[in-house]
Amino acid sequence: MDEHELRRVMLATAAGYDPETFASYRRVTAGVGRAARSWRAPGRRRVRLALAVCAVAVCVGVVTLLALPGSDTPTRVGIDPAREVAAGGARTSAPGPLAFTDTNHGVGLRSLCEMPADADPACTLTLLRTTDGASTWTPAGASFRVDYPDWRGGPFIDLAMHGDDGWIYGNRSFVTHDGGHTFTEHTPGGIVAALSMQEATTWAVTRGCAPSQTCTASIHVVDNQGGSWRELPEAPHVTSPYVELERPTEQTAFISGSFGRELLVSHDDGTTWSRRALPELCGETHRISAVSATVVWAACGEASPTQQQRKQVYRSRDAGATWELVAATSDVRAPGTLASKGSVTSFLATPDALWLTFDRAPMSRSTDGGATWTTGPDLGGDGPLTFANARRGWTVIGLDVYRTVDGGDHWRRVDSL
Amino acid sequence: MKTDLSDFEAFFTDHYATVCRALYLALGNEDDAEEAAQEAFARAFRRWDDVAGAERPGTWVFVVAVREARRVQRRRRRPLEPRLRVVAPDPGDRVASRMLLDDALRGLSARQRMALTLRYYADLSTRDIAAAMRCREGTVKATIHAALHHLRAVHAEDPLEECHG
Repeated sequence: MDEHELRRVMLATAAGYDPETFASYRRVTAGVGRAARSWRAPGRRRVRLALAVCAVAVCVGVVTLLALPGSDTPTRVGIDPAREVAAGGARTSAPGPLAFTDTNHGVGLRSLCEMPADADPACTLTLLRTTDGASTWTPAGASFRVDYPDWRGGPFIDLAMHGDDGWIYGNRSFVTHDGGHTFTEHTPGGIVAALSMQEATTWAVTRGCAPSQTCTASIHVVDNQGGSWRELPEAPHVTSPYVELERPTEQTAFISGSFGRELLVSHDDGTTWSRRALPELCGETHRISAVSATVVWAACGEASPTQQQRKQVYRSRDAGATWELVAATSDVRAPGTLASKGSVTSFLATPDALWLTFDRAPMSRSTDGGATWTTGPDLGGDGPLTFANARRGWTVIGLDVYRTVDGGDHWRRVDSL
Repeated sequence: MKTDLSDFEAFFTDHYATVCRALYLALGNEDDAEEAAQEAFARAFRRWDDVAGAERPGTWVFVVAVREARRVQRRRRRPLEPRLRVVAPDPGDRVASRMLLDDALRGLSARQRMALTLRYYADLSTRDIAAAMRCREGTVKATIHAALHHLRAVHAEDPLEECHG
């Protein structure tokens, strides 16, 4: 390869990379980004620049939207001043059918189910793999059909991956140790209501009965590399039919039924547990999201049958011992204001933002710890969110995969599972 | 000299994508490239009056972006492993170009990749590359020479090349 050839292949390769410019310009000029946060312009000059930047940003936005028909820009929402939500390691995805290891590599679960009214449901499960950030998907292995005897309606089916190890779990649970090429049934006993993978181990909260029936859940642990499930002997009783399990570190676990005010906390691999109380409204329904061993968030709402829902978002900096109200609907005075429309369907706290998705309402995002919230584009539905970093994330609505490359300002449908 | 802010908009439009693409070629990672580029342009924005008055504002932002890219990479402590993609008019040429560049860059050091990118994609002078990489011009020349020597060797050893003849 000579200089001429090198220049040619560089130009050809670079031409395939089209960096997003609109949101980037806003970050550069309007206060988002590490550099902009340290901006220390004198007062009068800052005001003058801010006014000018607003005009320029609008101009550039219009030009860019017109000039880049292929960019990820179906709908645009406002931008917030960027302040970190909380320090510490964090989960970056809600339980769902997608799992990404970086901005390009991930897996997605396609589950196509037949649910006749008078017979057991059956589903065909396929794990798909992407190496280009969800633009294209290919099967990681063969599809397999799963019957769900003595069950009516849609069975629980979810996905968790950590490297080449992963689980398709729910009513029946299957494990892979080769990146999804093959799966083997490996149930801890009962329905897996929640599952969490950390570096070395997988925890599962299991129930021996259907959600409509009352029974006590148990907690099982297995090594990611394989082996047998073992039950945690000192695990507390959980009776809620729907359970959340958060493990921000290998040793720390937060468990909470979706109904009720109880939060169970362990910092020693489940050897000992503490019972903590969630705020009052959380007793109706709530979602929790932990970003570290001490910082945990709760999105609570009334169990309302209407499209309006009272909501409150709380933060605890001491693993649930005390709670601070950071945002609420207008019925309660709080630093941040949440929209009433829509019931919360998922809640995700990452180091960069708080995310709420709603039934029949567009998602909301806060990048300043809940003080201000912006409404995202209407994607025609809602699904769990997954992020590889502060800017690149995905969601699945039905089987359609949507991607953002600018931290949620814009979402674009990229492919289907 | 006071400069109208609309000049910065034009400057950003003209140079941002080029800086991102150059860093992407050198780093092999879109996120790192854009983070470093945005940091550089944010600095240019904060002192736009000075930058606009410089002899070559485009080169100024390149220099800052390259230095920032090193900080980004150090902070993430991630080895440089180019994963480049390409979109060219001809699919056959696309695949060939990507494979060729991937294979070639994989054998180079981070310093060599950066020097080649700044020289053959960004068209910076040896002097400007030296400023960006914080080394002497002689070091830049030697780095580029060694990198090209390596590329020629890789290409000569390409077993598929015999099939093209």
